[in-house]
Amino acid sequence: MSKPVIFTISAAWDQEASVWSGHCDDIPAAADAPTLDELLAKISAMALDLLPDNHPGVDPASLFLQITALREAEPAVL
Amino acid sequence: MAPQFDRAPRDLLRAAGCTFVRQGRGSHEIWRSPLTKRNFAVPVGILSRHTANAILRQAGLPKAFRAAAARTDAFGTCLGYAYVARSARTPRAVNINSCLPDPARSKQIIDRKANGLSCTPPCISLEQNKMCHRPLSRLGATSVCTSFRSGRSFVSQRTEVMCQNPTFRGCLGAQRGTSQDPVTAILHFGRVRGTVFEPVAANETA
Repeated sequence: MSKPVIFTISAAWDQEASVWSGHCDDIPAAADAPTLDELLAKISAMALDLLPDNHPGVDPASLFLQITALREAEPAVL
Repeated sequence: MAPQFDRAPRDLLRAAGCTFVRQGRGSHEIWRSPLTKRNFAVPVGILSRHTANAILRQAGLPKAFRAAAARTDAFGTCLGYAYVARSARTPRAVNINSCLPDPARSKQIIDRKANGLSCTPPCISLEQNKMCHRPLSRLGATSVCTSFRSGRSFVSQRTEVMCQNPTFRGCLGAQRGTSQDPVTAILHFGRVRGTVFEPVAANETA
């Protein structure tokens, strides 16, 4: 197996649309979904589609995606 | 929630010379940008403006979608300053008689009215009449009034409508310059933003 290639997806909660919005400029891909799992699935599909176009030397088996998510919330009053 | 940003980003991409390449294996399309000379993914069913902006950025285009509040800038900017006054004829009535872009000029008129030098709201001269109503007339509004029911002031789109509406009865100046009621008290001085009247402190306009 060749050296792992890791792409980072930046995700943030969009309060207006009530979805996670994520993007990865290395792929490049952007998507939104109600859950982080769904977002990861969408961007994974995009990454596999675009890998031959933008990263022809990268083996899909060596591709890893990591997601960093940000959601702002006020502390709940107990 | 229905997709809000499916068509507009694609229109912007096409306008910038981006082209559809193929359907992706999933709910997305592959496009190519002549600016970045790279292929990029465009999902079907975009819900978030942040996603739409990210796609544009990846295509080498500037951000195009902003928060809903930002789209009402035309109503968020200050149109002018106005005041709510009480008249002798209708002591309970309150009415805003002038709206000037400059708070100092507006205050001059208020002072003259308060000193009894003028009894013809909304303005004291034809020239000032034109000046007073210019900012509001841009949006088709002619006067500002306070609702007795809610106690909140608002900008009327048409004075006639305001006067015929029983909710807002008792306001002065059904037509500009026709009222002969002297102003007996200035109740509020404030800033007009679209259809919103915000009272401001006297020292803010000094």
